[in-house]
Amino acid sequence: MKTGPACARYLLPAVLLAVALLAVIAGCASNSQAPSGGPQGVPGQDQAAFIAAANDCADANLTVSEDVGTFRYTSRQGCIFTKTLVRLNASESQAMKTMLEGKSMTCGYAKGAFDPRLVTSLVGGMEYCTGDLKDAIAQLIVFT
Amino acid sequence: MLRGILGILVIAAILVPVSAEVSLGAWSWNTYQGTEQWSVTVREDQSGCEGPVLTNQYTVPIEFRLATAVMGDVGHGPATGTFTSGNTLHMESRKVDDPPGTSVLSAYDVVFTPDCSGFTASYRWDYSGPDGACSGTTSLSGVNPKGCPASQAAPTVPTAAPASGEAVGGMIAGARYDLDQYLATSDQRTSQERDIVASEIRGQGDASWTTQARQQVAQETAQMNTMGPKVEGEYAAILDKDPTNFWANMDMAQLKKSQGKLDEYVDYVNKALSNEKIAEGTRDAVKKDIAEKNNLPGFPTPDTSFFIQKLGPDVRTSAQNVYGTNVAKEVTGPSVLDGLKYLMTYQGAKNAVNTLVFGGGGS
Repeated sequence: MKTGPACARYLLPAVLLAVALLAVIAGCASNSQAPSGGPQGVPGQDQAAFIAAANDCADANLTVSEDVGTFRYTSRQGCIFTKTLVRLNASESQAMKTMLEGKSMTCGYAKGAFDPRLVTSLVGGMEYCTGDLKDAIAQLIVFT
Repeated sequence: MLRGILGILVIAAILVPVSAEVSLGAWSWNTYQGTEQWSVTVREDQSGCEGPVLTNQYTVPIEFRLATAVMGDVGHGPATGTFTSGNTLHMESRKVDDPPGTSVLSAYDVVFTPDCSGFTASYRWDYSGPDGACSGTTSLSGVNPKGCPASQAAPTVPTAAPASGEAVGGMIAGARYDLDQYLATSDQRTSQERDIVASEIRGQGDASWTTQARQQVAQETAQMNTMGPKVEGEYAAILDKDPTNFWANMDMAQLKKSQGKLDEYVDYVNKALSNEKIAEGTRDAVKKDIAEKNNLPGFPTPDTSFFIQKLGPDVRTSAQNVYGTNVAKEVTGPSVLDGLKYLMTYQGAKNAVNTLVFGGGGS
C-alpha cells in the first residue's frame, strides 16, 4: 500500500484549508471588528449584519470605531442588547473619559422589533434601556 | 432607591410675629410654641453607595412645642426631637423604610443660630437591603428670613393665602414629597415588570417567583392608582393659583411621563419652559451641578468635546421618536432650553426630579 506518501501530499493543504476556514467562521460567528461605522444614522455593512442578528435575537458581537469613540454592541438570545462605550476619542478630556468610558446600557426588546438606532446613533432608542451609560449620556444632554 | 428622599429631611418652624421687645441673644426655641416655613438646603452624599452628591432645596414646616419639636418629614413621617439646650434640638436615631431595604439614621443635633436666622444639622445613614449595604451622610442647612418670634402669642394658623411665591413654594414642597413616593413606586414597578418579562423570555421563570412578582406589581399598581390622582390634584391646585409656575409644571410633566401620557408630558414641559427666566436659570444650575458631580473642569461644549458636538444633532433627531412620540414638536420655549427638555425626557422618572436643582417653587 502506497498510501503514506499520497496522504502526506494532501494532508498539509487540507490542514491549512481547515485552519483558514475555522478562522473565517470564528470571525463571522462571534467577534467582528469594524474599523468604522457608516455615516451617522446609516448602518455600515458590519452594523447591518449585527442589526439583523439582533433583530432575530441571536448571539452576536460587534465592535465599531467611530470618530466619537469605540463602541461594543452585544446581542444575546432572549432579545437582550448591550451597548458599551469602550473608549472615547483621544481628544476628549480625562473627565469626559472617566464619565463615559467603560459604561454600558442594556435594552430589552421584542423579537423582530430591534431599534437600529441603538447601533447607528448615540441616543436613539435608549429610552427603553437602563444602565450607567444611559444615565451619563442623559446628563450630558443638558450641555447640548 | 429612596436615599434621595432620605436626604430630603425637611425642617420648618412657625414663628409667631409679635411686637414685644425681645433680645435676640436671649431667644430660645425651647420656650416657643408655633410653626413656620424654613428654606432648607439638603446635601446628601451617596458616594459610599456609588451614587452622586445631591443638593436640593425645600421649604417645609416644623412645629415647636416648648421642650420638643416636630420636624416636617419628607419621606418617613414626622420626626420628634427634644431640646437639650435652648437652641439645640436632639433627634434620636431611628430606622426608616428605604425600599427595597431600610436605613438607620444616626442621632443628631439641630443647632439653631442665636439670631434665629438659620440652623445646621448633619447625620449619617446606613442602608441595608436585598441590593446590598452602604452608608452616606446628609447635611441640612436651614434659613429663616423672618428672624426670631418675639413671644408666645397665639400661634399663626396658615390660611388660604394668596398665591404668593412663598405659599406656592410650601404647597410644592408637600406635593413633591408625594410625587417622589409615586415615582419611586413607578420605577420599582417598571423594574419588576422588566424582570418578569426577561425571565419569561429566557424560559427561566420560576412559577412561584413569577406569581409573587406579579402580585407585587399588582399591589404597586393599586398604590399608584390611589396616589396618582392625589398627586395630580395637589399640583392642579398649585397651577390654579399660579399657572406658569415652573416647578409645578415640571413636576406635573414627570407625573404624566410616568403614566405614559407623553403628549401631556410635552405640554407641561413646554409650559414650564415658557417661563424662560426660571427655565434658563434652572438649566444653568443643572449644568453646573452635573459638571461638579462629574468633576468636569468646565461645561463641555461642541468646541471642546467631540462627543457633545455629535450629541446635539443626534438627540434632536432622536427626540422625534421617543416612546413613539415627537417630543421635539411644538416647542414653545427658546431652543437653547431643549437640553433641559431632553434631560427630563431621557432620564429616569425619579432621577429627573432629583437631579434638578430646585428653585424653591416660586415662579
